[in-house]
Amino acid sequence: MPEHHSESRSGGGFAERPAAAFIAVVCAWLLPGLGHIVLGQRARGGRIMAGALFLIFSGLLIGGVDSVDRVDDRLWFYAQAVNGPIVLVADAVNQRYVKHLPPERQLDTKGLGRANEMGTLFIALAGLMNLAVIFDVVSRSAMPGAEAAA
Amino acid sequence: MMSLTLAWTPFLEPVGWVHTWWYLLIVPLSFGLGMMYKPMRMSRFDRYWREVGIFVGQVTLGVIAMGIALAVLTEFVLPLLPAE
Repeated sequence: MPEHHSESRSGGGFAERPAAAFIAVVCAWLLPGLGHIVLGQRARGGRIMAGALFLIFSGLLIGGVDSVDRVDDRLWFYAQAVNGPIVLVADAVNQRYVKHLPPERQLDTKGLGRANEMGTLFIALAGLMNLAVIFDVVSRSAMPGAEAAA
Repeated sequence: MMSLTLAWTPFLEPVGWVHTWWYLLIVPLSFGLGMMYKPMRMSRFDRYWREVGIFVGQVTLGVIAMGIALAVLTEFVLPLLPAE
């Protein structure tokens, strides 16, 4: 049985309920994919969430938490922040803990070169893709239930 | 080697091998992007992983093709231009 049968949502479009659409958008930012789940599209949202978490945690694994740095990599951080609180927590850990380690320890934790570039890129691209996901939530929330599930 | 491996703290310290093999990361990068992109484009998910695999192949081959094109441009075409 195709999974999209479980994706349909009863009732009309969320355009008639802007508060519900707003909640879905906020949820999409809080945790990538959660907006679709709130709309009743669990299979779609779950896959999006898995992809976003894969990219975010891969980026953190490759470059360390120094891959998220709102002070030294501000423009990259704007793209990364679209991923929501996960990235904000990573930045807080970096600013408040990692950057206050003893200098000799920071030789190990400071991301340099390719590791820092790739870690930053993974998380930033996840953020930009989540921006498209948020637009998709907005689009689907304006459609009737069956059409939004397609 | 053993002590170096044990000394690495995941998520706190960057991985070391990336400096040599960074270009291979195009595969997991495009895999994750495909995992996020394809659900928005598909109405049913019975061919989901196949579509993600095709996406990874397309992105990887596209990047390789652009790399080859750039190498041809810089190594063979641009040197043909007059110096002045």
